[in-house]
Amino acid sequence: MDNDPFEVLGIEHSSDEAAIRRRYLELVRQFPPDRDPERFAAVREAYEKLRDPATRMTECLFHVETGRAIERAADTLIEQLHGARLPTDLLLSLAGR
Amino acid sequence: MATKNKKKLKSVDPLQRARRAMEKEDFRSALKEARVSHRQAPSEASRTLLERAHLGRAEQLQRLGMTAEARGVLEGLLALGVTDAGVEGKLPPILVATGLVDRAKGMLKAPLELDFTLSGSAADHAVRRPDEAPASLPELGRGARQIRSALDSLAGGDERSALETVKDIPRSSPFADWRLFVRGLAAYYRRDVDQMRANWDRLDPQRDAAQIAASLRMLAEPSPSDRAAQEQRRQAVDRIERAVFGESVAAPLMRLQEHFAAGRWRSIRQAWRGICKPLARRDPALARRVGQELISRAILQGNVNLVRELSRDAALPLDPRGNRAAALALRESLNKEDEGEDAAQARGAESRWLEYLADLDHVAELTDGARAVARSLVWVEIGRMRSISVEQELGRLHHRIMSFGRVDDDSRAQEGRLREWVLEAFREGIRAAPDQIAAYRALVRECRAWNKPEVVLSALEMLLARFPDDLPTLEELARHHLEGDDPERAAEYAMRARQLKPLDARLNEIAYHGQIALAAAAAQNRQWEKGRAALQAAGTVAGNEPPPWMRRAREALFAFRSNELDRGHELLAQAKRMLAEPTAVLLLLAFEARQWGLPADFAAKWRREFLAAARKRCQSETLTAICRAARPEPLLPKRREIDEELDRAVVDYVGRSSRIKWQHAAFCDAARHLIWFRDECDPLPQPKSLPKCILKAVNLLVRRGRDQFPEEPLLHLVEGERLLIEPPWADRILGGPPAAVSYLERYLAMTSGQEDAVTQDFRQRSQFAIFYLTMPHGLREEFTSMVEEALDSGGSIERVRDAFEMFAGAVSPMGPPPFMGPPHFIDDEDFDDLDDDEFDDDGFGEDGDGSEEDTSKIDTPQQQWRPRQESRQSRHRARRRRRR
Repeated sequence: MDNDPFEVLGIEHSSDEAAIRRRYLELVRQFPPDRDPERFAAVREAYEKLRDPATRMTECLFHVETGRAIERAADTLIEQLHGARLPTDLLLSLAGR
Repeated sequence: MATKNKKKLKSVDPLQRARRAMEKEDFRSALKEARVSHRQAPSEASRTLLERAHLGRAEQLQRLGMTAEARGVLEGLLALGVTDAGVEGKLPPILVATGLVDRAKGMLKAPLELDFTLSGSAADHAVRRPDEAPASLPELGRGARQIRSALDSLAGGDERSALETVKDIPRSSPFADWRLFVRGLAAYYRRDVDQMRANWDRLDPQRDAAQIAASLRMLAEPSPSDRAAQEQRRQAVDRIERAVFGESVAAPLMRLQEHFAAGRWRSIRQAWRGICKPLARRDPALARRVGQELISRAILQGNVNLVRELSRDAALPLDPRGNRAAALALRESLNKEDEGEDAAQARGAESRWLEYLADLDHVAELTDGARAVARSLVWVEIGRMRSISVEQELGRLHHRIMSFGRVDDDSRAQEGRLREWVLEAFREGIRAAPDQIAAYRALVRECRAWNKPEVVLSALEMLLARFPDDLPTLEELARHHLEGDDPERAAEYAMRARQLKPLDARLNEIAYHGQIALAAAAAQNRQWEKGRAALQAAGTVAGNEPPPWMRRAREALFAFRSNELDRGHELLAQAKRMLAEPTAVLLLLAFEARQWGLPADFAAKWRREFLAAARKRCQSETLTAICRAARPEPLLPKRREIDEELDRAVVDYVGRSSRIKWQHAAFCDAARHLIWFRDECDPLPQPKSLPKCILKAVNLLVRRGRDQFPEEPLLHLVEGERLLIEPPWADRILGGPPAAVSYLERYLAMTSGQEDAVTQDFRQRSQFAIFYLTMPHGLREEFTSMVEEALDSGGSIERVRDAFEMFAGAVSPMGPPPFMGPPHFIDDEDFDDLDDDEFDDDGFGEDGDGSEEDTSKIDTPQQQWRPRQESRQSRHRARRRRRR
């Protein structure tokens, strides 16, 4: 599980309070405590860290956290490729290479 | 060498060179050489070789997916004419695969339709290039168009139409594989992995459809664990990405991940440089996250250069020039480098932060409010960096001062200047964002490190002025004024804190003590109404501490003081009735009578009555109550001083209580009282002979603790104490006190996180004892004589402890000023200038005790214990004798 609260909530460092709260509520609906208590706790913890502007700024400026951003980025790109509808000629060009 | 080989090779016949190239499967060179050879000296051998080279090259190009190029080579071969039987036998499949079906037909023994492999190959080519489908086989063109139409439908998201188009293709058709492919592709797009597998698992691996499916499956299937499969996946991703986007990003990212796993930082740097821009073009948010991750990892490595390089390649919005990341990397390296380097690293980090403050003006993503908060936080961080360098500087100088024992007034100014430099950073933080509490708190922390109560007080009051409901500040101010003998303000802050959190036991205890302190002060000043109001307020404070009989006894003390004798007797009787025996009530009255301003005859009477009662047979409840009354109470307005007669009677009672049932509270209070009593007798935890009653009580506590309360942290303190006071000491203590220290350390470990005042007090005592016991022998001797000197001139144990904390470089809690006064900062030049004659052999000036010591007057393990007052007087006498 990631420790970076921005990664946990899946938001940008520049997100404002309203965006953070919106995303938090979205995730709480997605992972309610009775169904996924572990994920809910992580989301809650991340939100607690980011809800206060000073704490959020402290996180942004001084907290150095490493997660799985690179792995995730590769997965995201692969996912994007997977989702892309390939034109016929492009698809057929994959043969015999 | 290479030139020599080339020359040698050129001298060889082209036919030979063509043969060698064929052997090496370098068909491109082989074809070239074979053409030259056949042109220069046509022969049967050169022709055969030329035909074979054509075939080899065409097959090679076809394998590489370069069908058009392969077709061109084959057309050249056909124009040349095929004479070699081997070549002729191998030609039809490649001709079919490259779309030259009509030319192949003439070489086939059976019709093409009957050869399933060849017809499949022709179908594949027709699907790829429908315009090259042979006119002689119109069904090939029809089938190919059908498949392409289905693929077009899928590309447009029309799955139904696609499936409908391929529905009628029979199993025997050369396009049957494509029908399975289309079905699998539809499942792939709708992420139905099972259906996708069910269709694509049935594909002929030699056919084009299987090859395309194999690549696409790499995107849909979960990431494989073995290395070879991962490499295959990466290649497939790379192929598709290049086909779709014209450049590859995901595959290099996967490689970057591998570099991380192997810790190959140089490769990471190179790989990132190659992909940061393409990734930013594809997905800027993703690029930022990856950049952030890379920089974070470099920061954690403390690798400032790498941080700078990475920041240059992909600057983060909040850190446009990478100064923040570089400062963090320097901070990270503080813990990794040699301690001596810390101050330089901290200074480096500070200059980076100062540059970052300038950068903040240009960060467009921040609102004005957020920018102010960021500035404030950066100033707090700068203050921390400054604090690190100052602490190191002070620690080094304290150590030197200890060696030379000289402290003068200049030191005060110099330490002040250094500390002010740190405080200024926090003040800047407050100015940047006055509503942010972090800078205020940092300021208070730094003031505490300075160990100047008045500075701490003003910082706390500044914080409270801005944040009137800040609970920790209210609590700290209440404690500060309780200890500083200002009960009125203590009570005010304590009650304000309690209003915010009425059920908090710790706050209730502070509030009670604040009111009692106020009542006692009012009683001394004959302000009866004020005293009664304070007592009444104390009565409203809920909580189990102190027990009711103590509350009632204190009310009685006030009543006696305000000359309400009947009420006093009534309250006293009530307090006594709350216990089985009145012994503990009498002890409390005897202890506190003077504090409440009662005449000496009251105290004397209660003292006599207590001493008589304490001689009776021991009882469990009385033991508990006596120990509670005797507990050294850190929250009382003034920590009570030792009363040798009463405290010794308590210790004696504890030592006699071997045959009664012990309550846990009694054990804890007795242990605390014993340790406090010993500390008051001698603040240095050195081996010393003490009265038998102390040893007896300590031994009993150790036995009881081991039997009944093995989990109680205080048991470890008592065990350590026993090692210190039970003779013989030489074997266990002198030359190293590992056992006693390990008990004290265990106590500290078990009580970490406990914040109540009593535990905090004993934790400080234990830290002090460990510090003292683990000092080098020579230094300990020096400290011992300095501390005794200080005590002789009226110092208190708190002052001694503060002095040691200061010397240890530890951060002291807010308390009285340091015992030694601020240190004198001696530069290296000062050391050179020092005249040896100024100092005696022991390093002290002539006013010190450097002259020959009358060792018979110094406490040694062999010397018997005496109360400190007596010992102090005798030492004064000895010093006067020496001066004469």
